[in-house]
Amino acid sequence: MAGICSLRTFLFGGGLLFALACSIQAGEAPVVESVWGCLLYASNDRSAEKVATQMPARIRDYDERLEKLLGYASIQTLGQGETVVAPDSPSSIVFHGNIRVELTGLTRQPGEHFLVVLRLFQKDHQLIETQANVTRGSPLFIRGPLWRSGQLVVAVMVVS
Amino acid sequence: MKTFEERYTAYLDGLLSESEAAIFEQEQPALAAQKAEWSKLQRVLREHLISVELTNADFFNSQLLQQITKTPSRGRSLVAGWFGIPWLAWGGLGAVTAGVALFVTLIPHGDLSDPGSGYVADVLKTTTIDPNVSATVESRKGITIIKLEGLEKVPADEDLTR
Repeated sequence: MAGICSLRTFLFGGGLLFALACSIQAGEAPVVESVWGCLLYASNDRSAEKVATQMPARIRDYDERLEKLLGYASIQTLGQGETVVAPDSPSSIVFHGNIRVELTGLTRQPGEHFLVVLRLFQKDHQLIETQANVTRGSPLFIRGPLWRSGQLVVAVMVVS
Repeated sequence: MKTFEERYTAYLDGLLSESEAAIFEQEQPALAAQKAEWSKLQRVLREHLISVELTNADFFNSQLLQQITKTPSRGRSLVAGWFGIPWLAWGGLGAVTAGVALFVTLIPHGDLSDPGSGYVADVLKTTTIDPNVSATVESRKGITIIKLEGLEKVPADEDLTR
């Protein structure tokens, strides 16, 4: 009888430890998520605003804050794309002008946070590599090179 | 195979065949005396227990029914007091209400009127390969931007819209 009880206790404890290990593992495991990105053009050119594409709906709420932070009066969308980031397989979002965002890592953190590792390229030239802690739906903006009378901005966001 | 209890009951009731009863008595020598005692008890009960017929049966029944109707029905009064909904349903409703109240008061949540309140984008590390390029991180409420300096200007004639 005592033997059965100790066996049950052992199995129960083992099960608990296994469940705990699984939950910890699941909490920080690489994940398959969709990452969306867009290339923006910030400028003071009001005439171009009329013909250019509006801010994508996903980041429309950031319009005013971005203009204020960048010091430009208008922001237009030049292109956008979405990619699935899977463990151990970097993926890219490519924009016109051979500007691309390469996503090399995406790991789920506790509290629905993601550790994202990305590189920004202009042609074959790597501009920056960055590591950021983000939540789903929170875009990270990168102000890039000057173009025409304004400046290019890249936004990257985990969407699913 | 009958159990002892089954055989014993059948033996006392006289339901065992003669041969079975004989075998059972051989196995349990005290049975014969017990059966005799049992028969004696049955006989005494039959002789002395006489059913009494009530002369006022209707009155007795009416009194009995009156007593029954006077006894308060606890379940019915409680049901009436709680508007007909059982205790279990009220318990569930109370638990859900308490859960919602705890969620609202204890779980931190963003301001729904402020779209940037749930925004999290913390830059942990930035590196640039080109020594001429530098990166600075600027974080404001609800927005984070990495500003790159020292980049070559993209030619104006390059069409980035197609």
